[in-house]
Amino acid sequence: QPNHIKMVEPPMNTSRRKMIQHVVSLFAQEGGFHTVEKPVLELLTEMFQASLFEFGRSTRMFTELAGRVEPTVGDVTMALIDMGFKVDPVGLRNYSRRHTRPMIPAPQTLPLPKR
Amino acid sequence: NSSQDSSDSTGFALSDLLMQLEDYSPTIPDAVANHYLHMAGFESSDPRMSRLLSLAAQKFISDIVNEAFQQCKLKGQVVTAGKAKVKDKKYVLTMEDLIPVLNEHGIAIRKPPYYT
Repeated sequence: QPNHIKMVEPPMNTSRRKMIQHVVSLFAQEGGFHTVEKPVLELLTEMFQASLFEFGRSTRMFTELAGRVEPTVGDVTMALIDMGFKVDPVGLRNYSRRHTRPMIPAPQTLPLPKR
Repeated sequence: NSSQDSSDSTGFALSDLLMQLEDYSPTIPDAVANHYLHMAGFESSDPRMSRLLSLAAQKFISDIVNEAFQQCKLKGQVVTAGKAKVKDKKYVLTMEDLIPVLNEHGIAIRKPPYYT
């Protein structure tokens, strides 16, 4: 590789992206896969990130449309439905309570510097 | 934040789910999910809202992966049907398995031009 061509650094959020990659890998392992191709992992990571972003954006739009600043359950539901997701409380409950649920410990926070 | 309207046939409503999300920690840490939601302008003093959204996103990805696994398994059965059974078959999540599943969800995946 010539010296004058440098690899472009990925944009910010590298650590958070790694975290999402970790989660996607855990889902693949939970599903029964042993290996995930690198482009697939990258694609699913991007999809996760994009859907989370879009959920947030859409929810804010519905909140502001109603003239509020604090989102309600209704706004979240409307955002999900608007994006074509079926809001199924029973399915979500079963999903959240499944016994194979992988866990990631929350990242450690640095203690505040003493003055 | 009351939602008495969205009850379903089994009597389990969204408000009941929200009650359970109070002391629930999703697979993806709250801090990470909140960062992406904040980037989009979502701000809520109620942590259950962001948990509900991150749970929905997780289920979305998880469902896709699970469907891809079914595809992969079916494909594997066809190939190895005639041969002797393979011990400890390793399943690999490939683009070929994923693309039909995503197409079913209405997401079209194309290879970028000049991609090797």
